[in-house]
Amino acid sequence: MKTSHIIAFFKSEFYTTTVRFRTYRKRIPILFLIGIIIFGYLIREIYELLRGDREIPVPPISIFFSLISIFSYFTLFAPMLSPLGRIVYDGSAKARREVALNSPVEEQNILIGNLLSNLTFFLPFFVFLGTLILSPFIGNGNYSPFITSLFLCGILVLLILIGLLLGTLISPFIFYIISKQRNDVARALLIIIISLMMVLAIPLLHYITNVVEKSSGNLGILSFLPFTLSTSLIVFVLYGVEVGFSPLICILLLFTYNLIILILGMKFAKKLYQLSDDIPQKNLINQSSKFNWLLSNITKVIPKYYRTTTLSLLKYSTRNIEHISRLTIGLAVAVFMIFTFSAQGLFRDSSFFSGDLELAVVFFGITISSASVIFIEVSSFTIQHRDIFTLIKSSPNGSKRFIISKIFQLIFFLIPLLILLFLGLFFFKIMELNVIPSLLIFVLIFMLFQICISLGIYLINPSDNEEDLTNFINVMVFYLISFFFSSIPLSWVITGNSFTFLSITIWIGILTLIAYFFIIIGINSFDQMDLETLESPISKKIKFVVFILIMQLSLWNIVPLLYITILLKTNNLFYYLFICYTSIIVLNLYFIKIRKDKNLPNINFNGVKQLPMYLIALLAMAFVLISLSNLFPFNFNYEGISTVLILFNLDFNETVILIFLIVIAEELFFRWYIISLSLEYFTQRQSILLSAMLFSLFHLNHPLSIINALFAGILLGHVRLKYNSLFNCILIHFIYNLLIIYGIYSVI
Amino acid sequence: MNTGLETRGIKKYFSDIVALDDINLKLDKGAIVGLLGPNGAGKSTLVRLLSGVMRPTSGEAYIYGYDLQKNIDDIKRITGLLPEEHALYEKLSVYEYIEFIGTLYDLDRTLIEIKFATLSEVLNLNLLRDRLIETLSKGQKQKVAILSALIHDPKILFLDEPLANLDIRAQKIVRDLIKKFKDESKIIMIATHLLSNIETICDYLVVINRGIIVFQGTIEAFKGSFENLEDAYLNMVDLV
Repeated sequence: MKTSHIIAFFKSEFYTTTVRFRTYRKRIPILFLIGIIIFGYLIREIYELLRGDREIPVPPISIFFSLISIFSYFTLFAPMLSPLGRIVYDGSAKARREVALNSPVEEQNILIGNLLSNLTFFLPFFVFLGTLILSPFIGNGNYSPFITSLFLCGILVLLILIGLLLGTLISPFIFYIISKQRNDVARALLIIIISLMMVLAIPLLHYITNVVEKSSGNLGILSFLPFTLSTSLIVFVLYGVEVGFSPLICILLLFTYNLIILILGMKFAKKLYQLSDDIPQKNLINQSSKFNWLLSNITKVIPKYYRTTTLSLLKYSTRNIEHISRLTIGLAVAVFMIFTFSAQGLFRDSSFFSGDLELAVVFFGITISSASVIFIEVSSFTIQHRDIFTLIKSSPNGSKRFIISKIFQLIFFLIPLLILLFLGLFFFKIMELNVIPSLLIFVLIFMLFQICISLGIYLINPSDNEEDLTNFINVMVFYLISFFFSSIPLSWVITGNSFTFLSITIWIGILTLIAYFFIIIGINSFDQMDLETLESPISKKIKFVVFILIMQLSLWNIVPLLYITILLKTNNLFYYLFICYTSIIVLNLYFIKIRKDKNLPNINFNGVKQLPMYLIALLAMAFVLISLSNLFPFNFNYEGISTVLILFNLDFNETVILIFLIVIAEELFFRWYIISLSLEYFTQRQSILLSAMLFSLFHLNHPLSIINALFAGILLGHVRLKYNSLFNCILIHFIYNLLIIYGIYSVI
Repeated sequence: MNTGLETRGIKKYFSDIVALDDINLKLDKGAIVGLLGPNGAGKSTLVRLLSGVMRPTSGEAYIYGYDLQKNIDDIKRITGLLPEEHALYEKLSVYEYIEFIGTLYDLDRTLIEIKFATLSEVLNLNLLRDRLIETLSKGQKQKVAILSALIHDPKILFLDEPLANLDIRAQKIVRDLIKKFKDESKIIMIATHLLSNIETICDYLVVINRGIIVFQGTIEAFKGSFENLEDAYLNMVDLV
């Protein structure tokens, strides 16, 4: 065993996965871990707060066990598929493997290098996800929450390791198929495996529930399976109940599984990697085949301008078995969702199902499954079409024509999925026949929306590779939007409303607007995209604004949340706010410092003489707005925070100290950090406006307060750029706030 | 008014990297222009700029009277581009692919059929009409790509490394085709780092190095006092 070989292989794999994050990539594992710990801790604290001293009743152990075993089932298989997926979707993996196999590196070392890279990338992710899902149940068993979480992490590591090991071991077989020039077959195979697992999960759930109910803890042969072993452990840690083997034996068996797989892998590593190559097959296309005839006829509904291009794209995708296999995953997810959550599935005995709820649940199920298909299709956009990008962009109006044809292609691609689903809904008597047409229209509109959104997101933030971090972010954003909008009808019904024509029209109207917006930006971004780096000016700007919004959210909302326990335990608002704002200032200084130019804020006294003028302008604006506020039916809150200070009876001195800290923090972030960063993407005026808009977003407590903040933001931004000094901004802002606060105190 | 292409002070930056700096070109109609330079000199960037794929950071360009900043779609319509890498859909047949590209240039089906028939005859591709592109050899793929660049009868043809990956016979066919395409109203620009192609095909030469034009003129002027092209080229590129 040679460590340098292992490290080399590990590095090449890890660097490929994080290629778009070159600058941070050495910090990624640490950032990941820190993020997980902080986030997990936060969730725990919030959960503890919400629960208070209430006792949570123990659920019926058979149902709990079967639910957790389904969770373990997916926790086992998802990691198994991740390494496979990465190999299949990483375009250069094959070449890297060939180079590695031609070098004197031993196969065992390649295997271990691969394994390590998979571990760094996937293990923390899955363990974190698993612990997060289980966190609501923590705190009911014999151990303290902290110890319970640690135990859970350990169990999950053992289980996920089995999956990752298996995945890494099977990957050479997938390579074998790829090396036979059948990349598409490899991908199709992978997707069919995923679909099968999902469909298999439902009967398994039923079976385990029944067995646990009848046998009172004796699972028989089932208890030897890795995921039931970990389920037994999880149930024991959470509730102290033993089902199946005793905890020690479970741990031992899980260890054994890992060990056996690892030993087998090392023993057969040579054989795994030495599979021979074959010659690709020749293929002729029959132009007058029935399928081609069908395709060219159904595409006649498309406007003529886009028809031929759509037809070409359709032919291209239907000849690729991989694309077709993606439909199976959509079907599998849909079947899983509908049968798990509908009145005909797991909840067949429940009385709360109404016609509307049923409709909403089925709609939700179908749209979420179509989201999977659409996103897998769209996330391979670069891989599918990159070669052709240059030619498309060199043809007149090519970007628009291509993107719109792509939308048509995706719609046609999803039609078979829809037909199959609706046949299923009808034949299995899940839906009444008269509801189906309206549901179909609903789903079609929503699918169109999803297609536009996903393409838009992808074109704003394209990735070289399907399985990299960029796409991971894209898929998160896409699912967030998809979940949000498809859960609106569901939440509607749950809150006791019925579908009305007006509500549906408004909902569809909003969807259309958003879809249109995304597609226009997507086309623009594609049109201006630089083909080497896959970046365009417009996408850079959008990504920057999103980044700044996330920064603002995390600085001003998540940082205070971190200290919430201090507030609750000491009950001292001044102390709490003092710590919050001091750490925000420190963080701001850190963010400014880690930028490339390390341009720390200037503190000079240029233009101090002009400052009274700006101060008067600010006060005049405030005066006008306060007078205007009499027209409104509610009181004018100058700033949320000052109202809070007064409400909580802080004395004047404490308020002044806090205001001083807040002003420094705000000026550092809005005037220095945001403006300096945005000057790289925007002009001076745009930068000032952007920072002012974000500043006003920060003052959402009253319409007039928003206007006031916008005005103040523009003015202070102007001062910042004119004199290039942070001192001036802090001075004006502080005096202005002081006057207002003094005014409020004197009124009281 | 025999100038077909003129650029004034074209610059292109990729964030802070200068890809092209102050490009001033003047090309006559009817010329076959060789764009010569070492790897990474900016040849592909220039070709992409002039065919409308990329926008310049600053500068002006006029192509057959059209302004690169304003009439970008008109420029795209009259230019044909053969990209450096194979730009093909592997899962389409040769004819289906050509039909796709033809449609992008708004040609109707009958016209595509006619153009395909004549061009595939010349390129010796007519037997491969219904073959999937993924089953073709590298040289055959290059021929398909060349065919697709010619399908809309462009006034300016940009060929980025047209002879790469071709066997000797195919190279000859492509060379003959380029000569055949030569017309008093057209410009062909061949970006390459292979000197041997330049001498046999081109009659005008542009040498580019590190984003700067170091020479433009006829082949004879380029050779100057040197015995052959290679010496002249090495001398020029080394100087910069």
